[in-house]
Amino acid sequence: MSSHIARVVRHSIVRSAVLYSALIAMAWCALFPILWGLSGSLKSQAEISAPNLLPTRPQWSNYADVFALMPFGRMFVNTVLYAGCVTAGQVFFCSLAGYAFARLEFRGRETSFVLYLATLMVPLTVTVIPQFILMRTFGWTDTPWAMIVPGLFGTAFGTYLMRQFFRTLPTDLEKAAIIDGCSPWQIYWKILLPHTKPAVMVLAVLTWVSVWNDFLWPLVMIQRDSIATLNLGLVRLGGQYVADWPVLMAASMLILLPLVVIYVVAQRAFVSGIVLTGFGGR
Amino acid sequence: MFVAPNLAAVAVFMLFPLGFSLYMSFQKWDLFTPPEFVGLANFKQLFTADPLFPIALRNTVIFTIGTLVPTLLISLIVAAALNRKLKGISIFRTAIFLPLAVSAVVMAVVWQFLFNTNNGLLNIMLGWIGLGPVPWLIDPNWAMVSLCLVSAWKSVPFATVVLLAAMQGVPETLYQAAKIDGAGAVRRLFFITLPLIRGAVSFVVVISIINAFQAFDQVYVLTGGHGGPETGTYVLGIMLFQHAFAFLEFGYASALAWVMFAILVVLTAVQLRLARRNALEY
Amino acid sequence: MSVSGPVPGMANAHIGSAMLDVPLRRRTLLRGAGTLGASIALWTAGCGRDDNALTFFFQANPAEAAARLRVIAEFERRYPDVRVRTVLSGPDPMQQMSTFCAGGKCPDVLMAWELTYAGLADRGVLLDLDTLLARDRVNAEQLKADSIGSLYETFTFKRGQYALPEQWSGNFLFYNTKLFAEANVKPPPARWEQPWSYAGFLDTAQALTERDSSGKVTRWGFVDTWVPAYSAGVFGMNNGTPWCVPRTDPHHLNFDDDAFLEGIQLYADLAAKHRVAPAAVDQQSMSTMDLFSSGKAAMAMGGHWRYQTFSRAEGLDFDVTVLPTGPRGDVGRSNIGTTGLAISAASPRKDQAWEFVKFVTGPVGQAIIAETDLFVPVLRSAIDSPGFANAHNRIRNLAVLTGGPANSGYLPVTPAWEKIDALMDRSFGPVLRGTRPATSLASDLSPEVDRVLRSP
Repeated sequence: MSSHIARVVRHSIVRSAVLYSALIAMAWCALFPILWGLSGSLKSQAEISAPNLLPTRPQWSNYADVFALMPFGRMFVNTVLYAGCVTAGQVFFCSLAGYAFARLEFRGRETSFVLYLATLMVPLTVTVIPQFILMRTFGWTDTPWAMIVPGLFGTAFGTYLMRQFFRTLPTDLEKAAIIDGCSPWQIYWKILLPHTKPAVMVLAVLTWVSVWNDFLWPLVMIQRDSIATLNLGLVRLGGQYVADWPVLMAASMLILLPLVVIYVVAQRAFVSGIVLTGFGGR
Repeated sequence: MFVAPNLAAVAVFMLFPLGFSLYMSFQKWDLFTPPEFVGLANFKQLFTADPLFPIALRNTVIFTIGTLVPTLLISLIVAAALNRKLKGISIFRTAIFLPLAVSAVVMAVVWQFLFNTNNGLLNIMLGWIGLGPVPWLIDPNWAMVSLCLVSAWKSVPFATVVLLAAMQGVPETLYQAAKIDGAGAVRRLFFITLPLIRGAVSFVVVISIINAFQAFDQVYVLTGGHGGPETGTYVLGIMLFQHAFAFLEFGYASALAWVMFAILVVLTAVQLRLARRNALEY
Repeated sequence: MSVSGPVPGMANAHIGSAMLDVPLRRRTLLRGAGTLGASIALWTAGCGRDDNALTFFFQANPAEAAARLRVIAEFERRYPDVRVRTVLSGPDPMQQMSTFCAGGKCPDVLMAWELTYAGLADRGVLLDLDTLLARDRVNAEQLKADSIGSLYETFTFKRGQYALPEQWSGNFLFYNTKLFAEANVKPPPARWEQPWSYAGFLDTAQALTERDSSGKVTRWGFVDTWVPAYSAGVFGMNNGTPWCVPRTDPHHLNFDDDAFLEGIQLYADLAAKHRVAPAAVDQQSMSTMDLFSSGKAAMAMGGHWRYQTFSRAEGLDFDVTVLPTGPRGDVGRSNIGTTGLAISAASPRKDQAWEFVKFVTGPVGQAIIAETDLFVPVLRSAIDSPGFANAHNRIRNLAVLTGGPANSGYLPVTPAWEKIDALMDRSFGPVLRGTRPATSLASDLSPEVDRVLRSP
């Protein structure tokens, strides 16, 4: 009998070992490019082709070089500003509209919502050119407005998300408020909004990451470095300092860092957000 | 009104561009001279007279399949591995999902470093096992492989997140029943897990196809805005960008965008119909 | 507009799962206040900018940029009420110029490349400088007298003058004098008037190519630091047939001409057949620039923009020589590579822009340029100046540089160059790798190029 137990125990230890090694291998595959980039960012130009993961003498000066070679601080502020404004706007206006679509009765509600759903299917490539022309007509090319305004008042997706969410909330809260004579605004602001935290978190994280990582739009809209975003700055840096890998890696790590922080802190929101849009696959 | 700002934004920035883009696809316009109505000529030229369209289409299909298939296979395995109650599994999850936070641009820059024939880690590792250096980004065929590799690396975490969530919805009782019946782990995977997460799998497939079809950011940064060595990575996203912003043929590019849209709609409809037909009732 | 296009359906499932009863109000207020404050800061920063500066768009690696800034500083010193704001180009300057101008915010002064400016000129994006030259008679005549005709005419398109040239960037050969001496090889010609036959060039390259015991090349005879497809065409041009006739707005490129194709084949053979030049595959291990700088290549084809890099390389003794002449050619030529400065037609600051362009392309600016070892100036007075000679005291064959502009053949000037370039890139690949002969271009590339050139 005991040999059978011993065998089972051994079997399960072996299985655990196999599993853990598989998991470690997978984690390595997921992380090694980033780790290699990190290691490259701390190497000197001479050491850059050496296969060792740990640099012999960490060159933190590469990070200082990034700030010297491109207006990183300015671009960081720009990107934060764009992401922040658009996120705040999205959250606010989409939750408003989502509430309206879910709870308020008004003329044309259903038709407008169908239109919203229609726009969800439209790929980015179709709208880029007309939006470019719109910005040109407004004279917003090469200004911060082009980066902020199109997303500021919310998009169809955000509203869709919020509407679905509001529909899941129980109606008793509102019923009590209506009996008390609250206006729709008060219902929205005081009663329902506090309960929407998860959806708001998801939408906020999604929007923030989406604006932070956006590349095509800044590429065609922005000329001046003083209003450029981090991604754009990185590509321009790469174009100028071709194959100066330590500096490029340092810049990449710096751009990556804030998002990694957000990811670690708000992992759940991040993950559900990715699931909902599928934009993590891009 | 609650809805007004949001509705206005969607109308201006999504619906209007949609219609305007269609209108533009019937014009020849470079934004400097007045537009010229040409009817269906753009479409005709696209399908019959443009030597680059079939190339772009073929490359896009290869890229889509080349990203989708590895992504799906790997993420199934990874999700299955993560779907356990092992100690420390959440650390592994955090590690494996980390690439979600990386922007396409940063990812492409870091991988460019990895792919470099002299400095790159990949060729160094190949050297360890005695294989010669691979011209990852120089040879047209290898460039496409490199691109698929990078995109798959980015897509696997996304797909894993979705599939894992779906797998976690499969009741434990089914597995236990199967275990009692003597089914091994592999058979359990094939006959229980896979059929029950069909919905999630088809969701991943649809999203991956939509994203891969329009891929631009990583292609542009990894292999340039001209579609790589000898147009080896000349995909539809690059073709659109090139025709609009390099050749200044906005009408033609709009026609291309609508063709892409149409293809995507058809693909998505086919996919959804297939999925619905095979949906398991349980 | 960046958060778009998902497939709905999973929305309901995941949101309701994690309901937390934490009051949201405080966070929202804080975030709102923060955003408001930030927005105000942004607004004042963004709108309080002096948009009265003259914008100057150009592409430059860091060293070139420094030289540019010297010229700009001198200009600002003489014209204190004009501020110049530089816009440095990213990887693809032509695409960026097109996009910026299409977006309605064209930079005032634009760097113009001989190959790509015609597209913008044709669309009316660039200002016809003849209007300004007409007002400024004296200056215009002086300019014409001092300029080199072929470079000046490069920017003449459909009877308008769309840019003034500022540098000659034609190609020639750099060669490593130490390696030549060690291998006891006869030094190549010192001036364009002494042609160098392709056979002689090939012999030299072969004599200087070294291989190790396993047959792997340890030192190349020849590397190309320019664009291979264009270099191949220059070899074709040096085999007796020009790229096209006429030069400007042609309807046909000579990709079906035997002599031109033979020249291309001779270039391709250097890597594919004779193995004196690295294939693209070999080049990724080390860039061609580094190969020459480190002495792993004996000759390098390139233009003057490489000069500074090579002159700063440690232990590199080099000189310059002419490009080889093909068997059917009569004399070796460089290409009329030139960049110039143009003014955008929609600029609200045309007069200031004109002063700037005149300055840089005029005697003063060109003299400053001559003193830095970065550009070869286009005004005769500057080329012949002692300042230019001093900046190049490391080489002996200065005549290759000073005589370059006068001994150059042309590349096509056409608005459709972007498209032709894309087609060339596609077709030249297999030819340069040796998997297809150059004659295949006659059937593959030529008809497509002609079709692009003929359509409006």
